[in-house]
Amino acid sequence: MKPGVGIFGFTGCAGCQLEILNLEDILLDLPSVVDIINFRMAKSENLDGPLDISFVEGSIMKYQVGELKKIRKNSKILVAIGSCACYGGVQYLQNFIEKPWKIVYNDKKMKYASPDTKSLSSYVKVDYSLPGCPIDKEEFVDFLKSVLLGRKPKMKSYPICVECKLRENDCLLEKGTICLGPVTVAGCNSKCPNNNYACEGCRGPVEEANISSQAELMKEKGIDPVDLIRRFRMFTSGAKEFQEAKA
Amino acid sequence: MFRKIKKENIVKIVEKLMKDYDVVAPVRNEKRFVFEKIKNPEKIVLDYDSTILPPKKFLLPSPEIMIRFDNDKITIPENNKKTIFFGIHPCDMNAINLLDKVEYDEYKDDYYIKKRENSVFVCVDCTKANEYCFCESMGSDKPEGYDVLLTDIGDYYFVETGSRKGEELVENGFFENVDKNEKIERKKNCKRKMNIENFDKILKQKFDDKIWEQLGDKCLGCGSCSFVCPTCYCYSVKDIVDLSLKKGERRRVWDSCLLVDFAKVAGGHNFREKRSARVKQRMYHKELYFFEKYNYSACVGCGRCIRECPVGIDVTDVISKIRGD
Repeated sequence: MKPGVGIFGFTGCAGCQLEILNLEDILLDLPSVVDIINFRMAKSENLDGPLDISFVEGSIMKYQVGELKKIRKNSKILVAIGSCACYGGVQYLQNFIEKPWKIVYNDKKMKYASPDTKSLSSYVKVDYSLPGCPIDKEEFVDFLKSVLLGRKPKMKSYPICVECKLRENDCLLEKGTICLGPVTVAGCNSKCPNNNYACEGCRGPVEEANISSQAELMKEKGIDPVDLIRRFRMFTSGAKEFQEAKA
Repeated sequence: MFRKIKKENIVKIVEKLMKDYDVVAPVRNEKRFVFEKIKNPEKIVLDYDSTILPPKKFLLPSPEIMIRFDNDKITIPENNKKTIFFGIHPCDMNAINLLDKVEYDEYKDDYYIKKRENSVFVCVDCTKANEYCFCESMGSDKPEGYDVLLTDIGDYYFVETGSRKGEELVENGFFENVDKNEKIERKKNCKRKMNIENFDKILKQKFDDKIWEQLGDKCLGCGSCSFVCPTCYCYSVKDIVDLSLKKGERRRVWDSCLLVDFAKVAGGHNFREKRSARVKQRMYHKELYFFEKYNYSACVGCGRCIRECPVGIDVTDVISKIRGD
C-alpha cells in the first residue's frame, strides 16, 4: 500500500510548498508512489488523516498550536520543511526586539496581538528537519525515497563548503567576502556561492558549527559586532547556536 | 638526442592530441586556475601557479559511478577513453605517484587503476611558486613518473621523456631534435619552508600536545583542506535511486576526516568525536602514518590546504610550532 502524505503550511510565505510543486519533471509520477491525502495548495479535496508522513511548512503562532497538534496526532512521521518550520524563520527575529510592532505601527492601536511565532519543535515532536529558504526540492525527493525504501533518512552533517569546494568555486572568504558557508548545513548544492553570492545561512547551523571561530573570521574581515550577530540570525535566529552567538 | 617544442606549437600539438585523447589541462577560472577537459586549446595556461582542485578530480572523480542497477541487473560503467594530463606540475605528479602506492596496494582500486593506465602525463616544470607552496621542502619539486616533461627555456619548452608512452607522443613534426642539452635547471623559488627532519619521531611524542586543542577550537570543520589535497583519497558510498526505487546507481563521493561523522559507526558511536582529534588525524595521516607505511610523507607541499583554509590553519606553521622552532 502506498504511504499517505500530507503537506501543510502555517506562518510563512508558502514558498516551500511551492518548491514541491516546482518538481515539474516528476510531479505527475509522485501519486504513483504516495497517496497525497492533504495538500491544500495543490488539491481541493483534503482529509485530516491518517498520515504516514506529514511535511509541515511555516512557523507556529499561538492560535495555530491546536491545528499543529492535530497533524502530529494523525501522522506517523512529522517533517519540518523550511527554515520557518525548523527554526522559526525570519519572523522569529522579533523575539530579540522589545515591542517590535512599534517599529512598524508606531502608537497606532493594534487590532491583533503581536504574533508570537515559533518553530514546530517548540510545540510538538519533530522527527526530521529539511531546512532552507526555501527547501531544496531534490533534498525533499531524496528524503521521500529513503522513507519509501524503509531506510533511515540520512541528514547532512557537513557544511556548504563541501559542496562549494567540489564545484571548484573560487572561495568567497578568500576573496574577502563574508560568507556563512562554513557554519551552514549543506543540501542546497551551494547555490548562492556558485553564483558568486555569499552564503547567508538560510539553511541554519551545521552540526557542531564553530560559531566562535567563524565570528573571529568575520571580525578579521571587518564586520562590526552588531552586523555580525545580525548576519548569523537573519534566517534562523531560533537556532540555539545563533541565539547564543556573541560578537 | 634531445628535443624541444616551440611554445606557439603547444596549441597545435594539443589540437592533434585531442583527436585520440581527452586532454586535461590548466585553464583560467576568474583569478585562479582549474584543470579542465579542454575544448579550446587556446585556453590552456602553462605558466600557472596552482589549481583549486588537483588532478585527482579526474583520476578519483567525485561522484564516481561504481555500478548501475536496474532490478536485478547490474552493470559497471565502461570508460576506455584515453586521457592526457597536459601541463601538470611536479608536485601534482608526485602526488599521483603517492596515490599509486595506495590504489595499487593490497585492495586494488580498479576504477583508479583503469583511468591511471589509460592516462599519459605531460608535466611542465613549475616556474611560479606562490606564497603557499613548499614543494622543495618535501622533495617533490623533482619531477618523477612523468611520460613527458616540459621545461620552459624561453621561446621553447625543452622536452624530456620518461616512458615509452612519452616517446611515442613526441615522435612528430612539432618536436624538434636538438644536439645539446639546452635545459635550464630550475632555481629554488619556494618562499615557504617546512623542516621535516625526524618529524615522524617528533609527531609521535606530541600526540597529547595542547596545540591540537587550540587547532580544534579554530578549525571550522569544512573539510576544504582534504578536498583540495592531491593525496587525500577517502570516500563514502551512496546509492541513488529513481522514483521506481528499483533503478539507480551506486556513487562514491569524496569524504573527509575533518567532517563530524567521518568516524561515526552504526549505533551512533563516533571514534573521533572532538574536532581536535579530527584535525590531528589529518596531520598525522599525512606526515606520520603514511610515512610509516610507505616511507614517504603524503604531503607534496603544494600548499593548497594552506590557501584554502578559511581560518588560516597552516601545516608548515603547525609543524614548526611542534618542533619548537
